[in-house]
Amino acid sequence: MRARLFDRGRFSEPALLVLISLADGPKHGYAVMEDVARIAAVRLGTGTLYGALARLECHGLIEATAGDERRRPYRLTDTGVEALRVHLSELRDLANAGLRRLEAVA
Amino acid sequence: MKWLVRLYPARWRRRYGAEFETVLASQAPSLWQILDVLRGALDAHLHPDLGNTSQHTFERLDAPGQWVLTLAQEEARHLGHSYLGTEHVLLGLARAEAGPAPRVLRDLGVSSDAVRARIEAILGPGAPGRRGGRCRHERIGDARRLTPRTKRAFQRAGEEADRLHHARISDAHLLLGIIEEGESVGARVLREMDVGDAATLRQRVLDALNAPPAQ
Repeated sequence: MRARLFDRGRFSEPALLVLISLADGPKHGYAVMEDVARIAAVRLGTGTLYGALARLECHGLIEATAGDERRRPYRLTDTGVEALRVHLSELRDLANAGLRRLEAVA
Repeated sequence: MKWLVRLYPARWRRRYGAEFETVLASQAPSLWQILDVLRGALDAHLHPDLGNTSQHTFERLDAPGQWVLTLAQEEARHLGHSYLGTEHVLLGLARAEAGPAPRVLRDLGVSSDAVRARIEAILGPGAPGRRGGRCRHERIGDARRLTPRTKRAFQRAGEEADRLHHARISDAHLLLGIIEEGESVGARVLREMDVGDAATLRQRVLDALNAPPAQ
């Protein structure tokens, strides 16, 4: 299922996109959806979005902040910040390794 | 499309229903959206822990009480504990500074550093085998599983508030709840810190509740 948090030990794409979206400050569900569409050109369905939010919250990577129940903002926890940092660094290393190989071929 | 939210389990709806509806209402209805929600609802049924909160347990906390809870969560996180125990609540009380219970603890020389050291002596650094794992637990805010004793301590705090005819649960009731839950780690920490027996301590808290703050 796409909303699964860990996929082969890594974040599922929706969960990762949600974390990235919250990296510059708290956002409510709809704002996350809009932000993800803008930065990643990915349209998250409502079910997928809330599957990811519920899992991330359950794992303590994000937390709901006080606010209107209908537009409740979420923010990264310290654990969430750290998990995202580690994951993105790994992705960067992988991307760099791939790009270096391409350059070597060219 | 609002009816789609009814496909989710009741517990999930209590936690996410309102905001879910808001987001859903902002979307143009489409087969893709419906399928996505169907899949999400199925997922929520298959994982009943999602959206399992115990927020209502804490609705009675007043602002100082909530502050203590916030500090307790933070301490649990720093100690690397995946659950919320009476020991963390006690730490929260020792750190809160203002309020009758923090005042009593301060007068008795129960500092947050001392409590933290005792917790680590009792549980060992790096915490018991309750770390991480799947999220089968009740959650609040940043959301840690409450241990059964912590739940009982909160219950006792509520009963104390009832007895005193206080509408809300405050820091003092939380401390009374921990003292009464004698087998809890929080109560054990207090015992080991030589602050007098439970009855004496209880009386001190009640006196502090009735006495106006110094300033």
